Amino acid sequence: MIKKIAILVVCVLIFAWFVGPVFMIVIASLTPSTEYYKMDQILPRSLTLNHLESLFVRLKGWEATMNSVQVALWSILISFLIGLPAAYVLARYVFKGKNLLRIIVLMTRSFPVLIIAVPLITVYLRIGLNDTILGVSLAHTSMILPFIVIITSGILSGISVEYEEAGMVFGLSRFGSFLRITLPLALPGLAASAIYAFILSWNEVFVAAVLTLVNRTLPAHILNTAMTSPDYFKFAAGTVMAVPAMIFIFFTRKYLMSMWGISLK
Amino acid sequence: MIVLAKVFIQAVHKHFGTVRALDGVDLEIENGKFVVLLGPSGCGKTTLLRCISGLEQVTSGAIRFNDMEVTHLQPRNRDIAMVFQSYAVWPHMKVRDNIAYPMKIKKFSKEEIQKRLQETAELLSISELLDRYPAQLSGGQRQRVAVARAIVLEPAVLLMDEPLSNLDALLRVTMRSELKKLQQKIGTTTVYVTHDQVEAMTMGDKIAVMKSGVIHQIDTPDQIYLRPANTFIAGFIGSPQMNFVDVEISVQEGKMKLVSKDFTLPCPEMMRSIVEEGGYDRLILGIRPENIHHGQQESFIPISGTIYFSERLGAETIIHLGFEEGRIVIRIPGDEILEDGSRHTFYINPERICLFDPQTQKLI
Amino acid sequence: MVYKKDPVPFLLFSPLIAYLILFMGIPLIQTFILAFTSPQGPWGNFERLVRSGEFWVTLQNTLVITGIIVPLQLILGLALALFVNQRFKGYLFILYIIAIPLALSDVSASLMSYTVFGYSGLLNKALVMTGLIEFPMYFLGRHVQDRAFWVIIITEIWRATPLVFVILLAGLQAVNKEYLEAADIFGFSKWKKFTRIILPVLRPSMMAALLIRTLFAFQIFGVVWVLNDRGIPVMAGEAYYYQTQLHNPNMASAYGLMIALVSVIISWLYLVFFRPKKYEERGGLA
Repeated sequence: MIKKIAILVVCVLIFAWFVGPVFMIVIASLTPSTEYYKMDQILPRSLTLNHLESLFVRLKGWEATMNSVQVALWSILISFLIGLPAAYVLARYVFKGKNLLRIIVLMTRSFPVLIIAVPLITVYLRIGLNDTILGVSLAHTSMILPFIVIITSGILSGISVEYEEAGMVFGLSRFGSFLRITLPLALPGLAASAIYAFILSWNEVFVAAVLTLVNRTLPAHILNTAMTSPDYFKFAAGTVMAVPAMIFIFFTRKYLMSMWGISLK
Repeated sequence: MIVLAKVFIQAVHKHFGTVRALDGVDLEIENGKFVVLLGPSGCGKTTLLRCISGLEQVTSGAIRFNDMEVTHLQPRNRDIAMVFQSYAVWPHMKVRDNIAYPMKIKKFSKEEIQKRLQETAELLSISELLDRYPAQLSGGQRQRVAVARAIVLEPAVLLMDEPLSNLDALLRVTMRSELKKLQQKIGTTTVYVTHDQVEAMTMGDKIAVMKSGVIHQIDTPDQIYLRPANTFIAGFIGSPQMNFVDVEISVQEGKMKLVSKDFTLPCPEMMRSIVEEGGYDRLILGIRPENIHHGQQESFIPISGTIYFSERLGAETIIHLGFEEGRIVIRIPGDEILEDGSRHTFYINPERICLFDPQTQKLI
Repeated sequence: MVYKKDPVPFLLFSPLIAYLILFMGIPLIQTFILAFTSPQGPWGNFERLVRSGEFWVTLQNTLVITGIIVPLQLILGLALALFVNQRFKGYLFILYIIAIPLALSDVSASLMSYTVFGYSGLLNKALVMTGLIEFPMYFLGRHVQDRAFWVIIITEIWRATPLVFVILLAGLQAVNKEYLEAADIFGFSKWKKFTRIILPVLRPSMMAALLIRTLFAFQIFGVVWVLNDRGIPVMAGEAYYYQTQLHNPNMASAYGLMIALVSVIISWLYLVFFRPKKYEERGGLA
């Protein structure tokens, strides 16, 4: 009995610790300024959408958000286009040096992506890719690619090769078999990893901030105005950054858990 | 499309790096015959099947279906069908779509697809399962779907990779006869891979016994059983295993005798000339447990020993007959009861004795 | 499956290699070039770094932050993982709660921290409303570096512990229940069970978590920059500052190289000392 109470107490603490700040920022973004600065009041008595409106309309929040979305989508597209074939090779082929390749890809994951930002902007300035969505996407892709390759090769390995072989026996080419049999089977896993890749790009700040000036992504925009922006901008922007990501994670939570190797009995 | 094909496999080698999975295989399969590739794990039987299918490329050699050279063709261009060990029934399609898919790819007309679908489903008794998904089926049902999908295009050659090994024992027995009957009905040339000698013996028109990438014997089940080409085959087929005894040849008073450390037997007349011609002084004597009998018959060779242990299986009894050093295994009808420790005399049927060269392990 | 000399796998894999060369290899080389280019010759930038007091302060800050954060995250993450692994009723819910920060960027996390530690934040309001202090305190800001330092630490721990948690929880799956049951029969104490059975199995996961977190803690940027600007300089922050505000890509690259150097040293130390036998790949946790 004591054990149950103890567990409950710990759970409440954990809940407060993790949910608290999230709750606070969402509330803060909806709290009228007059009420927020009152020292004797924590929760607002009324809610307002003014801050969000200001963020989007006056403070370039909408553009920044759209930039973030576009960058993330392009990053996913490019990394899947390049990464999926490589993942297929890792999953299906056996050859000398395969392990070495795998280790190389693994190692690139711990590569500090921020150090490519400086040389990249230097090059971008020359070829006109600076301050562009494509420019940031290309940089984000190199951050996401190793992750995509490793995860999707795991997914593809998990799909029995005999399904593909059956396709090949019954009239499909190797590629056709991959497209019409393996891919549909891999889709749920691929979708979940795409969503996670989206979040990785959506959240990335250093590279995006270095590579852009006017067409900033949302986190870069926040960073840039951090010290000078009014409080309500911080709260609104923080909420806009956090909420979609949390919603995405929520919808793919079961899949992400299995991706991280946690079995949910 | 050709319905019946003669399969020619000529001097096929398959190397994986330094591993020689197939080390020179020659095989001819007649129209409409059911040929079994039998052997222990790693013998190359599955590799050979995959080479025939085109899922593996041969390192050297040729494969022909009738006059058509298929050695370098993609699987989809070979007019074959395959039943995989795991069935490989596509999980994201219903049963009817699984069976119809090969026809869809080949762009059959809708009517043709429907017609063949119904016919094949009837044949495999899965008509009620057509709208289910594979996950909702039992193993045996999924296997039928795999077979249905394979025969629906009336392929020239049908390939099966241990299709029964994932079924439980009872189902396996039923499906053995069903598959064989099906093949006889549709008459497609079939290559069937298994490591189970019972399957091979009951289903095959011919059996190709393989070991270490080479075919050791191709023959009808009867012949393989009675005249196995070497000790490996003799020991692999038949349960309980054939008895092997090392014997020395000695000639006394004009009579040839086979001398083992435990007993001496007279050499059967019909074998004498072969032994003499070959100039052997030692041989391996092989005799199957069921060819040693309790009752005497003319020309049978007596052998006496002490009953070490008897396994009573009901329909038959397996006797382990002991001598000073060795033991042999004997199979007698189950209603005879013999006591452990008692001495008995049994009688060997000389016509069923196999003699093997100890150096080559081959039948002489 | 396919003949070795088949060109297809090579063709399929080469875009990846090309991309990695183009967007990781070449920029890395360029970083070197930039870092070693200065009016004072190849070592000019590094001389500036070494001579400037700020570099050492920066390095120290970053190392201290890393040194404090990583062990705390490891311990907290382990505690959470052990707790959740008891699979009590409703553990799934708590699991997802703990996983919330995984969706957040360091920027979002810092802003959330601001709602708690800001001048009109939750902490101040709570302290004032309960009468513990009369006026709100400053936790963030240049003039309260010490307090800001701890706010940063707490924020980072809040944000990144769930990553350790997830890795360790996955590692706990490998603990064979039968060992624990046998231990119960033999009368092992809870502590003994933990140290003798669970910890050894958890070792590879802990090493993986340790490596990942150390590498990324060393690159800490967003949290510091959003909450405290350059008040507490850190390596990545200085690199950013030199690039975007002083427009000096050479110094920025020098800082970048130092970060890369330390990352390599850390990875090498890890491989040498901990000799991971099986590095189990667990998702992409940045």
